[in-house]
Amino acid sequence: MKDEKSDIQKHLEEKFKAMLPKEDAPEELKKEVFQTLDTLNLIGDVADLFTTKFTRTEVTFFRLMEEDYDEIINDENDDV
Amino acid sequence: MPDWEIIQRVLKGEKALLGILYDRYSDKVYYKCLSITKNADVSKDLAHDIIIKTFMNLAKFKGTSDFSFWVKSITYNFCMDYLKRKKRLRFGQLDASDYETIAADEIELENKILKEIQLEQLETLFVELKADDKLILLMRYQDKMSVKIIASSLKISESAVKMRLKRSRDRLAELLKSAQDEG
Repeated sequence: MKDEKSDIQKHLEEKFKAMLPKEDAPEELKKEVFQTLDTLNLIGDVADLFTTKFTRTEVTFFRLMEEDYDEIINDENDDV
Repeated sequence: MPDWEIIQRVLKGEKALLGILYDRYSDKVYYKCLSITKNADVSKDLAHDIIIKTFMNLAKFKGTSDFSFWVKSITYNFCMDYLKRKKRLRFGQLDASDYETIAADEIELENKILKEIQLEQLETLFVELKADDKLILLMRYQDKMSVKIIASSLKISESAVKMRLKRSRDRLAELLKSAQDEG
């Protein structure tokens, strides 16, 4: 039974393998794929500008704000 | 140049090399989609999304398996999602018969019929199969995926995969028998 099963497995694998491929992808698909990739890269660059880089700028800005705030507090304390 | 080397170079910025990967895999992806959906427009859209997803996730490919296998997995997942949306995939609905014991004489008869199948017959009859039969037969016999991997892809148990495979082979055998009787 086991040999019979493996025979049928081999037979079907052989026939299914021979089924590929009969039709090529449409020619315009390549153009569309690379256009989409270009668009996604562009969006990625823009998103990057507004996320990572912006966040980094924001963090620096807040740090500066905090430093200023500390200085103000310290100055106020000095006054007291 | 091996796929792995291309991927490493693409990730380092040589984006033009994606064209080589495209040329290697686009026909296979498209034809797989066409085999399952039977619709050229849908297959083109699916192939587009599959290739984009593959290329956008190259950094996640660790090279522990063959890249072609990775592409196939993404292709099957996309096709399954499409069939689920179209309600033409029934793998999610398991019933008691998924766990039936298969009688030995039943397997023997099915094997006897399928052993006679020729390529031309398979190509003709395959078109007549339902989408979920096609999908599981392609996974098992064209891409030689193990029962374990199919189970993981379809999110069903290994015994359910075996039963589904058995049923799909049955349906193919039935079609072949009918064709032979008519002939």
